[in-house]
Amino acid sequence: MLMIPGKEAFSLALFGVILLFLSASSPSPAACPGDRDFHLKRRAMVEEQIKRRGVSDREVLAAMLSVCRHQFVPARYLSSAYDDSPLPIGHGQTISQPFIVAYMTEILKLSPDSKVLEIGTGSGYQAAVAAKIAKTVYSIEIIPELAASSGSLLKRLGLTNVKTTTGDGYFGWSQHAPYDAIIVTAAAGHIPPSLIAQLKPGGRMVIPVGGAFQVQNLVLVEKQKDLTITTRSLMPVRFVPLTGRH
Amino acid sequence: MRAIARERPVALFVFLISAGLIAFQLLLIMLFSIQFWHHSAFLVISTALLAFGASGSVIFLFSPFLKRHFSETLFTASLLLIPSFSGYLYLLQETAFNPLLLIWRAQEALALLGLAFALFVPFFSGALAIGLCLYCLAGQIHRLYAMNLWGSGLGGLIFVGASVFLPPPLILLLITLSAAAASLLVAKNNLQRSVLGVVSLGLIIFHLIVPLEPLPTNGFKDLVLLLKHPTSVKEREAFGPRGLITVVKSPSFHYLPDVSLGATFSLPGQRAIFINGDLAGAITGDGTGETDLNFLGKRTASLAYRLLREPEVLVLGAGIGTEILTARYHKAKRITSLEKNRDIAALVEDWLGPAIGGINDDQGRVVHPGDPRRFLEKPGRQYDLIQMSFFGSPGPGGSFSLRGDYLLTKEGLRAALERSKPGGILSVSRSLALPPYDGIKLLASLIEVLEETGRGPEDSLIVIRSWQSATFLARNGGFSGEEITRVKEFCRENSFDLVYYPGIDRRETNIFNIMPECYLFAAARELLSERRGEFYRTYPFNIVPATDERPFFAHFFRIGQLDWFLGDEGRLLLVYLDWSYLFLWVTFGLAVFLAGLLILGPLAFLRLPEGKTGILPALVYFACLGLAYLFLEMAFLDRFLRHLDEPAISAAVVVGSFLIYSGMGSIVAGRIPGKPGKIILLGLVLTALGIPATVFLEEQLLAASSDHSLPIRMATASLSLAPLAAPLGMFLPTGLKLLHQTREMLVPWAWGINGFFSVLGSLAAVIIAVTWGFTTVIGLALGLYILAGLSFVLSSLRR
Repeated sequence: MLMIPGKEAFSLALFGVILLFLSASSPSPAACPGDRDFHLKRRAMVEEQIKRRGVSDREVLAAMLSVCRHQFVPARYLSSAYDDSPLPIGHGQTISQPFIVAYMTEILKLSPDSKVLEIGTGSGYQAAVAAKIAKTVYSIEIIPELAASSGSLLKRLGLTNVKTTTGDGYFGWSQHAPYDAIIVTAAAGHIPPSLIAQLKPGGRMVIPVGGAFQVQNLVLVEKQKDLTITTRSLMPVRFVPLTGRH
Repeated sequence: MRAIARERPVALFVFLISAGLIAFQLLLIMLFSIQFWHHSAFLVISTALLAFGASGSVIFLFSPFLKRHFSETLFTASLLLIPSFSGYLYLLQETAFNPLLLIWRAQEALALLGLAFALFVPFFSGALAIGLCLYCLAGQIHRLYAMNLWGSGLGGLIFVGASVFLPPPLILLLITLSAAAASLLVAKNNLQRSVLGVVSLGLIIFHLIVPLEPLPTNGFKDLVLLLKHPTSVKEREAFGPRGLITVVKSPSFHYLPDVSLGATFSLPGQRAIFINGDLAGAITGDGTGETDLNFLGKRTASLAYRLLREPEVLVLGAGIGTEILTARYHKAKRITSLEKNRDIAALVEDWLGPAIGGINDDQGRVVHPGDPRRFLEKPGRQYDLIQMSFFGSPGPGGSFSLRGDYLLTKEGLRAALERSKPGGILSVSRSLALPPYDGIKLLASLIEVLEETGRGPEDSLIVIRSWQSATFLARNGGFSGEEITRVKEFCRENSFDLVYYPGIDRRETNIFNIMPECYLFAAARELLSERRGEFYRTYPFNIVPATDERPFFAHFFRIGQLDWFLGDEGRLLLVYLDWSYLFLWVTFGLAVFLAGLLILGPLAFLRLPEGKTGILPALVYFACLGLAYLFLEMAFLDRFLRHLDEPAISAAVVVGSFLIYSGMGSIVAGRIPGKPGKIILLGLVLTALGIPATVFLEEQLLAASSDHSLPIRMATASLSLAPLAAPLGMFLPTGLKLLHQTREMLVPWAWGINGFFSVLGSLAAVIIAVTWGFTTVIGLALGLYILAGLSFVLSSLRR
């Protein structure tokens, strides 16, 4: 029988605890309740739908891999949770296509200190992804039923750095302003002046233009240090060259 | 069978069934647009015509049985119409189908298939009954065919009239009653009458138990989304031939798409306006004139007011009135505005009337209901500024990219430019689509118009843009250096980008609203150079200016680029296009497949007593008639759009007139003595003369009546179609009658062929018009009638 002196035994036990901690904190098939299939699908989603289309921010890719998208879709769409498509979540709303979520998050250039405002909580998926990177995410949903369901889901998942409320996101959430980043997940007809006002100088806001199933264009709004506003059109795919040579 | 033919008014039966079917078809086209978007109108049209074709094949295959049970079949078919008509509205309300999800979810295809099948049942039943009457009562064929056409024509007209006053469920009830009346006409005993009574009673109970909700119920429609918000209130709703117009007041609704990012104004209250459940715009303010309208000075569309002082303004396509408010805000001396959707015009008149007082035109109206293009063609006052509205209202139903827009053709833009005073400005604002196509097409159109009218486009154009809108100014004369300075100031104040002005440098573009490249500026450079033709050819989208011959401004898809669009890169862009054109091709492909399967299929398996000789000429004859009739109907439907203001009215007048005059032609053909060949020859000569006569009359009669009221214009339009439409009714019954004498068994098959090729004709006419223009469609129709005549002669000679 192998005898281990006391000090070595303590060191080994400590090593074991550290190993256990590391294994629990890294994404693994056991990160989400559910079976291993979802993990494989999620990995495939990140590799094939997101990385292949040019999203390269490691924090964003890690967040997309660690947030269990299937927990945010209605039960009837569970098998399609990791498909390359938006999905209905009720009340005429959708959970965005995974690529759009990743792309919008990357555009915001979030850091661990970022304070983020999200307009349109919807399923809560986008907030969950942003919360994996940012310090705090404030999220507003106009449809009370959705606000209630996504708010309780985010709490259940332990995402304590997401704060949700019910209201008209058009006017922002002035109580916690200014924000480093604002993400508008509902398609917008125009850029609300109140949101521009609640953006920090140097802050970034991303807005999709077009319907839920036809995100035509993403617009990045930047408030410069001198308070001038500029917009930048960003396409989710490489743009059609003007000359037609493609 | 003969007894019922004598005793029962079969002609009236055919009339009622035909009227019911066409009214049902028109109602569904509108309801599908409300519930599922406009593309789905193709499904209704195609399914209806396909059912007509399939009914012919079924009569052909089971003719001995159906002949033996003639009266029972008529009764059963008409009885089946009652629940299938009435239940469809319920089905439409309950089916969770979303066409936007079709490319992602197979379940949607199943739902679509279910809807199409349920749609097939009533059309098949009705067509079976009509086809059987034509087959079994050959002696009355001209009369029955006339009743079929008249029923369809009047049914359509009655529907358009009824839709002004009645909601969809009541219209459907009237349609169902027509089927019940037809059923009663052919019920030959008490048992059948009792069954009819039970079915009718069951229907009434069903409607009492299951209330119908107002459409749309589709959770992805803008209207349904806004109404989900607890504070939203539906203030007004009107259903009519121009679609379902809804006004919703909601504090959570904000719609100011072309306003500067630098605007820090307080938001005015707004009401959302929906057409068929899709957002058409917003009425801003409370209607009292007290609203803070400062935002109106910060729109790209306000640029012209920076260059003109107190102008006289003509607003074309007033839509929901924003351009009128903008003109008023900028102290326009006089405002004349036109909106062709009369319901929207009435809404704006009611809403803005109190606020506008004192600056509107001589007739004291805020908005004139009427077609802007027709207004421009009339001689009259010239204006300092002609504004083509950013918020022009879309029409109901139909397909956006396949709907003629005669205001944005080169001829339309030229007419607008020529109504401006020397030094006057034509201002056109558009939402800036990405990938860029519509802005580039508009730019190309203006450049070509300026060139063709001898105004140098390099000196007469200014274009600016915001993050999602662009405004194009074309001047009747050049811009001065001082004016260009004012344009630059306007852009700087509002964070708008310069796109083009005479002498612009590339470094002045793409500053505030940054794109990977300023596509409009680069396009302007190409379009103003000798490389324009090459640019048109190589650009991935169709950006060649629309003309009156091909007035499809919103058609951007190039079929030659299909392989690219289906590739990895292009597929993601595919969803940005209006899918109407693709839907059209897909429907056409399906129709060709099904036509082959259902027309040629039965022939392959049948042994005909007289062999298969003579079948080919018959196939060609009836196929040509189906194609050519629809070619002419579709071409003239679009031509008359310019004069009858609205698609629904144009469709009712043109289609109704075609059918009614063709019915008269059928009656006349039945009374002409002599051989059928003589009638066909006469028909051909009259058709060949009728086409130019109608084109000539269209121009003359309608030009003379362009100032008259709509009913007079409708009447003159209808009259001008008579020389063409009447002879068209001579061909089909004469051919069927001859076939009845020679190859009786083929009569229902020929009826089916005609139905099938009508499907193809309605689709092919649009494809040809989009690609080659309406003159080609009309020319091809004449060629097809000549081909039909030749095949008729051939088949007669063989006999």
